[in-house]
Amino acid sequence: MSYEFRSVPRIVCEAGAMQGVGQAFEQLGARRVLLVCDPGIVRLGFTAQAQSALEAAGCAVAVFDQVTPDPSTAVVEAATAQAQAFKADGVLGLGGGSSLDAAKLVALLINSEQPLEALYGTDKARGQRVPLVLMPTTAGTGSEVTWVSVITDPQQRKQAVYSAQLMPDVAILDPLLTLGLPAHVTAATGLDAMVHAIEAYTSRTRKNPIADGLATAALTLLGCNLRKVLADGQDVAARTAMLQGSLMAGMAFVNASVAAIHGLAYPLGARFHIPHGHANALVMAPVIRFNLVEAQREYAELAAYLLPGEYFADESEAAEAFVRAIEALVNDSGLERRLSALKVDEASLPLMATEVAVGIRRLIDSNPRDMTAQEIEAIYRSIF
Amino acid sequence: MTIMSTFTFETTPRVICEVDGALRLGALCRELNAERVLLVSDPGLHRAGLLDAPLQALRDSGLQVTLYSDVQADPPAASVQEAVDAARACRAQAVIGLGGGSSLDTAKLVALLCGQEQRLEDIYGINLAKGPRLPLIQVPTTAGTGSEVTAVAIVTTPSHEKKGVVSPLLYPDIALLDARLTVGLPPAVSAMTGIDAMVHAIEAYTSAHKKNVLSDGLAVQALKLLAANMDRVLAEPGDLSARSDMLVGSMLAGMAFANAPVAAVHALAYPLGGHFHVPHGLSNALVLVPVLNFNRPAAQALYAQLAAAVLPGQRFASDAEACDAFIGFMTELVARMPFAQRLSDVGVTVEDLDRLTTDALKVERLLINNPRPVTRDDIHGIYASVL
Repeated sequence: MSYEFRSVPRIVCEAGAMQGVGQAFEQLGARRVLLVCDPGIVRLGFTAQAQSALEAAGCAVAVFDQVTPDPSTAVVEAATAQAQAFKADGVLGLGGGSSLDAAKLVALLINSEQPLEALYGTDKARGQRVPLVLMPTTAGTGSEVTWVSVITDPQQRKQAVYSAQLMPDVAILDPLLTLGLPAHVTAATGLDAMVHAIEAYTSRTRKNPIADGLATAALTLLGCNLRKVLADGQDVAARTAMLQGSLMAGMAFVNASVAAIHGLAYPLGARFHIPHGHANALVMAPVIRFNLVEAQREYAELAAYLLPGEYFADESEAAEAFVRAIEALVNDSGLERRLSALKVDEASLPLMATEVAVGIRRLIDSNPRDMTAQEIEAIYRSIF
Repeated sequence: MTIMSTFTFETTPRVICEVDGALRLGALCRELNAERVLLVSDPGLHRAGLLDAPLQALRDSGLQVTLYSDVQADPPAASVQEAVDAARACRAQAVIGLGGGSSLDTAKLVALLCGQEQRLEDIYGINLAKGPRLPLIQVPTTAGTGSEVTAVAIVTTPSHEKKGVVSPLLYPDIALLDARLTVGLPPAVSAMTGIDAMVHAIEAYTSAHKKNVLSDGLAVQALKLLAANMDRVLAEPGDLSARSDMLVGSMLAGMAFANAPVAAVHALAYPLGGHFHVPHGLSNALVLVPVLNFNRPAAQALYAQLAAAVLPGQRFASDAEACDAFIGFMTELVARMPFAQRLSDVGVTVEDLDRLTTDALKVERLLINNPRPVTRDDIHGIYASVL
């Protein structure tokens, strides 16, 4: 009965909130800001808008716009070098999880003597970062409220840095930045956020009542709005709710852990470059079905939040309704659901299963039901 | 369901919930780079011996600890200044507040006034304080005020006015919830502070202006924890699990109302504290039920939603029925609490009602958050109904 809960100290949510980003840095005492983003964000015009907002508040701005998906160490190091040359005293991350994760590390490395690889693991970072503001353009990874960054090392392995300093000073949610997301990205990132809420709530290792409150509220927002944003990407109210749900799910999982869905998704991303959200979407329904015998009570509790207003005769009926609702959401998401259609080869299935069972043990440990390599392989085969 | 889509949410960045966590204060101070610390508390806790173990643990970890244990209820400005002087005298590098709301409020101001040269009388109001403040750890011993996660400190001025300092600088670096520190609370105090916390959650959830999805989610979870554990801590004061849940519930309610401010219950409670020295939690409890009944026409849907938090698993045919169930639950809960139930029990007479009403009307900043507009006659009627 002992846990810690960390939170970003300030969250701003408003359509058009990006216009206030300059003031945010002003309040933090930063005058020279490195804006970290990717080429897609530049094309959408968001980079120029953010730059204008920063300059209007008197900030000098440099732009690093070369973040790649599953960012490599080289990307983080190049951005850090640019920040140092520019003498940046603040960092703005603008984009999806990759840009936000990169921005966090840059803010930490600017004044650090430590090489990036010395930060891998938990609480290895020393010293203070420069002021950091994060603005997500997907809903989403929740990266704007977590103290973890995931990057890809030169050997193509995913490395995670968990460090309290990675938590930003301010998270800014501007739903206008998400209106133009393509449907498949909306679906993948939205389901990813739902997985965060569900796995936090059923975490066997660090489930706690604070994360529970955020996860349940997040699940209602996400569950009630995912179909709406898929039907109409310009629905500002629904886009706002998705961003808010994603943020709350992020606060929940980073304080309670994710579990087997993320575990089974990792090799799909690392080996076959399936985007993180899509990889989660692929395995979420079968893993939840697999977990049902051990997680019936939790899934029944979540049914009340995913399906507000519906009543169930008993726990098993509620839990079954929850699992079916998840299966239906994944089905309706429009995302490809077969591994074979995503160029995953059958020979990789046992290798990936072993990798998860052994290499990412910590995530299986948080799963409500234990999983052997054989069981993991069977789940992969069921969606092959 | 109307959801406020535009909001700003601020909170304490780090919460530790751990039985006997107070014995780790030394390590936490070190993390905040402090070797010399001031512990701010009150004489009652000192006498009760509650400070002994944390003080010893701080000393055992090699820190220089100075104790200021003269915090007074509704802290007068002079008392805050005395604590500031104590911090300066020991060249404190960090401040620990350990106690009820008064100790935590004092600790906030000590950290602020020692971190940056400024006078207390110059920073009453919103965002007038300048940083940096000293590192600050808040350890509540009631569940509670939620002060460990709010950005307000209330001071009693020499002219007996209550004034507040409001600034995000007042959020501590760490809120430490140690249920062990609350097992010795007398039943009446557990009850009053617990109802106070529930009022925070309820009024945050029905707040007319700044209610948002985050404050809603936290308020609902707070109410769930508080409703499920209130009777348990009265029946089994040593139940550490129930005590922990009350502390977490109180803190979550604090996070909620820090961002979605409280309303008429608090506005009507304040004059009872001011004129009759009724403890804050009891003042709230006395007026809670009549205010809920008064608000019903405007807040029925919201109270109906809260029914699910206090009566989990129950199904209701309509909002009206769920709202009834919620108000009924709160009415019965307050009625079985071991404290005064009527204003006359705390010395209020019918002649006092006009003065109380006049003063409650002055708390405009809170009344505007009430889901139903409140007139002078309404306030008078509410007081009269619980005389």
